[in-house]
Amino acid sequence: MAISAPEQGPSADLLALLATLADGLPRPPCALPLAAASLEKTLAEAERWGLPLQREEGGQLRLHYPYPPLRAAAVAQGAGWDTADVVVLPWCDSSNERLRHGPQGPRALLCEGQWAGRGRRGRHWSSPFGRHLYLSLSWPVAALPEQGSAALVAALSVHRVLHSLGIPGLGVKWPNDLWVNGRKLAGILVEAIPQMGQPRLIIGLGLNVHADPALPHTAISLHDAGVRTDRNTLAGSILRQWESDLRRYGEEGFTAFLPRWQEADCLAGRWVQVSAPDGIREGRAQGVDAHGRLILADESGLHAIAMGEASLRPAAAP
Amino acid sequence: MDIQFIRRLAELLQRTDLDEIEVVEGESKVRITRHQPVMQPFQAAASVPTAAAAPTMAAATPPSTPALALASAPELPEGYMIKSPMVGTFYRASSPDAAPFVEEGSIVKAGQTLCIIEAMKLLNEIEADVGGKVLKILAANGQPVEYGEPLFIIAPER
Repeated sequence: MAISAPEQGPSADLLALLATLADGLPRPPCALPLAAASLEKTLAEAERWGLPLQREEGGQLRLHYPYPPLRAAAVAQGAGWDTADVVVLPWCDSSNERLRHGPQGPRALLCEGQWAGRGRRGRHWSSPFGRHLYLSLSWPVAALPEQGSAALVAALSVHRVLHSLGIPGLGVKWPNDLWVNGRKLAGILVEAIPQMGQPRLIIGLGLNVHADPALPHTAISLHDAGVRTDRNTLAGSILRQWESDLRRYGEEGFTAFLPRWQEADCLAGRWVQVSAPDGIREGRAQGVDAHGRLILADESGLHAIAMGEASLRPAAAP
Repeated sequence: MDIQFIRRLAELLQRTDLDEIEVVEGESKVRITRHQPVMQPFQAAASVPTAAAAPTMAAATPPSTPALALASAPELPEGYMIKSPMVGTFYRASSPDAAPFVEEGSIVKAGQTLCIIEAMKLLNEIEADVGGKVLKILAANGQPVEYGEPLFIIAPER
């Protein structure tokens, strides 16, 4: 969701406190890595960040998970991987950023919350603690310029997993959002990193899972769509599907995914406006071409669009 | 809009502190700027509404009176040219409120990120394949770039 981001990161005290309480067990203040004087200040800061650090009877502190916590072992099992391939963090700046700068090794990283979750072009992605899925995958590729439609493929993978849960009105919105009846369920951000001859993609997913009173009305969660699910199972299934689809994409290219795109496309046949750096274009969406570009039809013909933000214009439809 | 008029505009630009002059006359338009790359001193386009925002490759046709308007324009410096590997939107920073990856004059190492080119929500980081000094940045932040379009000129370190 595009809302304004907090100006700076959390304090070292807060991060130390979270690390101690990450297991969700209650602890007395004397067992915390903080001087008593700075505890009140740090708890107030936690509240500003929306972190559910609670003081229980007897003065014990604990981190309250509103839903069952993420577990690396459970996610890895669902993906068919070793546990060491998956890292779970309680809270971080963004899962893409941690996976990218962390030590080589883990193939996927999840977190319970992000303080600087990102959408496209630095837009803030609201990432409350313990309710949703923030999942990033590191995927080595042979060459980067050939990865142009990777974001569309990544969205189709998530679509396939969610479709199997039975969600009426689910579709992909070009290039890579997941929508339920016009409301945003998930967003994907793909970063292509050359890394001196060892190129890889970092694919980040933000998926609204559980009930969240802070979600704007333009967004929807799986809970709102009538689906009750476990985040660990879901993450494992998505990683498994990503792996299978990205491997196929590397071998066969995007054309292999055109039939799936046609099934999932929720813009096809609708009047769409695309705002791009070189202007705004309107037309009727006609699916995508073999490169994943959006095809718009207007009175001057067909146009293949690689850049820009698509939105529905139902009122302006001729 | 005749050639004499454009010539007078170019002279006016040279005589003053102005960076850019744009004149729209009916369906024709001319824009003369100081800071554009050499191959694109004019955007003399007629009646195409999107022409002003068209990618710079559209300016590959030679301008009608290059000599005059270019008299004061700097030559492109000699150096190693980094070109766009794809069609997309050129960004100089990781987010709108972040500092640019590099400036003209920056010293870069091989492998350092120079810019991001975005297409279809894929953020492609472009890295320097040589180390050296950034002599020239040829694309503007947020501008669409074409395949093979020059983006940076770097003086490789010896």
